[in-house]
Amino acid sequence: MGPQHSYAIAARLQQVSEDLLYLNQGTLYPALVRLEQQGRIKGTWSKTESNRDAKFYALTKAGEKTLKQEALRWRRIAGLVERLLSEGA
Amino acid sequence: MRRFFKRVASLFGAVRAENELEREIESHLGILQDNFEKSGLSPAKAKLAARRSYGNVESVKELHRETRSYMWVENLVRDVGYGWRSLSHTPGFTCVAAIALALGIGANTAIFGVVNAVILQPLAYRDSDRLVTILHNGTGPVATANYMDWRDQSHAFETMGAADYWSPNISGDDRSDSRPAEHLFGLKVTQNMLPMLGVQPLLGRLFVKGEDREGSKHEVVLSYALWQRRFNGDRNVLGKLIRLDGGAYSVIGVMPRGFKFAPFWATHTELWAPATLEATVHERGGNHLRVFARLKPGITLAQARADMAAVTGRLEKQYPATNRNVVVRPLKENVVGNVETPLLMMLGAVGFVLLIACANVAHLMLARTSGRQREIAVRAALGAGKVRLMAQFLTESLLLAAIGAGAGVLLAFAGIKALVSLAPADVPRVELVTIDAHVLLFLICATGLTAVAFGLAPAMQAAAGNFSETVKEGGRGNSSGKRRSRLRGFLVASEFALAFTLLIGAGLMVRSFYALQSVKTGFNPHNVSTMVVSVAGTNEAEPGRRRIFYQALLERLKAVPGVKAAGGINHLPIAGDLWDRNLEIGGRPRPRPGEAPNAVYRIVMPGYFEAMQLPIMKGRAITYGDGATAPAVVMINQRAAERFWPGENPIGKRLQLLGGGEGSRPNWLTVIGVTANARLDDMVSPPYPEIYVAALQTPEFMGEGTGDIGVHMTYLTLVVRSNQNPANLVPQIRHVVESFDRALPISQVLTMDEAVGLATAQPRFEMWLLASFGALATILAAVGIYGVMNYAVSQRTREIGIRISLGAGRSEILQMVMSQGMKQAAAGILAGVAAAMLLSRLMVKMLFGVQPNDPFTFLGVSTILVLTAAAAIAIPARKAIRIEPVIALRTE
Repeated sequence: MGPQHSYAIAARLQQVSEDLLYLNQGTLYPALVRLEQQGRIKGTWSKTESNRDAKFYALTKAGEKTLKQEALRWRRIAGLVERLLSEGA
Repeated sequence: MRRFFKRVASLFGAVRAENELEREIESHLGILQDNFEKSGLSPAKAKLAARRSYGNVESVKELHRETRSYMWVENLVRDVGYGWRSLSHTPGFTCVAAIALALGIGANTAIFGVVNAVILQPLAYRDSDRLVTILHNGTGPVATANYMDWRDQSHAFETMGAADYWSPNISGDDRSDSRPAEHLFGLKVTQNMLPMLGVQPLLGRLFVKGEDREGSKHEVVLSYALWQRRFNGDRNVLGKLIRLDGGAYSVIGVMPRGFKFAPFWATHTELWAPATLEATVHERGGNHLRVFARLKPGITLAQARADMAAVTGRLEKQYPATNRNVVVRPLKENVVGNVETPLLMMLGAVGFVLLIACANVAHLMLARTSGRQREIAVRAALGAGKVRLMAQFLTESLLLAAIGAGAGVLLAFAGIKALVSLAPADVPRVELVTIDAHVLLFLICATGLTAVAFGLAPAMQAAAGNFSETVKEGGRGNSSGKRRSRLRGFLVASEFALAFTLLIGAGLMVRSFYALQSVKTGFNPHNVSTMVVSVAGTNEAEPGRRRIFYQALLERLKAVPGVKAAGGINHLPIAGDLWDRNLEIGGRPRPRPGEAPNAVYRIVMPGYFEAMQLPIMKGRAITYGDGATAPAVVMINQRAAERFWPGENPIGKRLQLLGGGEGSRPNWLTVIGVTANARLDDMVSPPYPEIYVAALQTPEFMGEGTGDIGVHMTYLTLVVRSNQNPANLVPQIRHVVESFDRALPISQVLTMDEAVGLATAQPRFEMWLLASFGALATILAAVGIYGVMNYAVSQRTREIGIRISLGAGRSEILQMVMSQGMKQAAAGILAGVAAAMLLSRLMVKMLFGVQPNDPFTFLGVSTILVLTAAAAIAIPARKAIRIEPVIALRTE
């Protein structure tokens, strides 16, 4: 998936999560701004298919690295929690 | 770092960010609308639907804005809170660091306060930077005729005025007034002089045109202080007649509080009267006026100088040997010229102290950072970026510096009070020293810079650490490695370099001061009391009476128990005024104008040389036998003998005084004695020819002369030698004077020891100030090297333990620790030698009898610092050799 504008990101999240995760624009924007400030994503203005102005966000190198680390961490924690819960059950 | 700048930029680029937000929302709404249109809605309905589904635009914007701006504000608040907590967890560290910083910042603020008031603030006149003095050699007085020609022929000046020294006696303003007479210091000024300064009087008016003509009524303007003291601040003083030197003057104005003129000479002036210059209008020899001028708008100093050079060049051709070395100089330069270098040097010195304090706090912080590596590692692991960590540490430094500055302000207040009261009396404008906005601004800047200076290294270190390693190692903290200890070594070495430079400054001042102390005054200043008795305006001023009064007064004083000798002179050596006269030497061709030999002119009553114990090298002293009808005599000092009659016996030779004003008749004086050289008006100038004439043979001094010079000779300085503390004698001397006439004012009561003390007050003050800065610096440097070595030893406990258990002797351990520490100190001292060699040259003007790179001072200071360093290192070294290997190895 290449650079995406915020609406597409929200739509995609909603789609992938099978409507479980619906991000209000008010929630998504600040997150994008923060990620951009942290240098993890980079936004560039461009045109959509229907010729609208939109900002397209792409992961930076640092972003990819962070993503990998965070994903790893999440899996570990999730796995750990899962194991703990299943042990206890 | 780039991210950091970006965030900073986003702070300032708020407008751009706002546009960006607008654009983003616009685009989002557009995309939504497109989607709705695709699902079959009409464009208008699609737009509405998009709006609806988007929700509240404003609240989204708000949320967005918060994200954009909250970071730095919240971070700051959090950092301050965090810094505060962390500082209060280590009260010992915080106290020590804050005290060091308070000393540094306080001392800097105090000295800056003085520099600000004395040097930086403009003089308290309107457009004071346009005011200049026009004087011979920059400070010397000018003859009336020359002043008038300058005024009339120059084009660069708006106004040019002149002032003349005046010291009248004020007596009761009417018969019923029982207040004692008082000797005042005033100025006779040309009519335009006070208006030129642009200061409005508090009451009444200034002089107007014509009031400085001969024959006009006598008028006077009072200073605020005199108005308060003598007239109790009575507003009805205007128009009142007061008696000055027996003449009636009407008060026409009172100047506002704090007004001072002249600012660099005659600084005790308390009243101003018009100068009538008619009597001396053709004089080009008798220099007595100080000339002031205001530059025309648009005229530069260089243009004014060129203008005056043209005028004086022309006049010199017209009147040879006059108008030489006339210097146009900004008024302020004459006011602060003498103190500028020492004051700026003190500011530099105290800056060094602050730097040393910074270095000390920096390695305290470094040690603390090392102890906090675990905490830092955890914070880093939790997502704090390097910049965030640095910001946090810098905030902590700033907080610490602010605490130091808070205490420093209090210190500065106390310091400024102490400085003002201890400063030598001749420091100009010292009464203006306060903590004002400029000083506070300086304080804030100093605090910020200080925080960065001591906080940057620890902050960078905190940000640079290898955190995961630290966490794994269990925070043992010895991963610090070479870089960190090199940084500490560098800090210690710089402390020693700074301390060395400061101590050289102090050492040179001490040597210079002792050189001054050992200067021979030429006479014996102990047990001599002096005071000025002024006869002006009293019955004793009358011709004939004055002669009798002076003689009778001295006779009565000699009879006072404890008095060994009593004499009188016009002006005291060291403490008094200096008048000089041109001479003609008997048997030589009459000198051409400008080439006459010159000598300091003293007028003495018999008994002076005895009272001063000024040795007579040849011939005899002036006695009562040398009276009005006896042959005219003169005594000279050795310098005059060498200069005027080299290789000859001067006794019996003749000389004549020139330029006694109009009406002075030829008067040949015979040399009867040669005295030792006495100091002139300070302790450093080389001896100059001096002549002593007999007061009894000087009609002007007795109020019997015809020349103009007699106006300035209405007082006698009594010189009384006793066999006890001279201060005890003062009431008795006063009593004797008052027994003649209660209206006789006594002033300038001074022992000769005090006079000598005053002459050396400035170098003494500078010496003490520099010496205390030097001592402070040395203590801080010693504490610094102790701290670093102590830390090094505790870090190497394990290693030392291993060495000992492997058979290293105590002396080897001792040597190892000592050499590690001494290397740092030695490196600092070497750097200090280089710095001091460069910087001490700036002191040349302040030094007397010692060279700026005086080897003894350098050697002595090096010894002091090496010993100090050794003593400071010895404490941790002792700790090192006492390490028990078993315990050391087990504890880790």
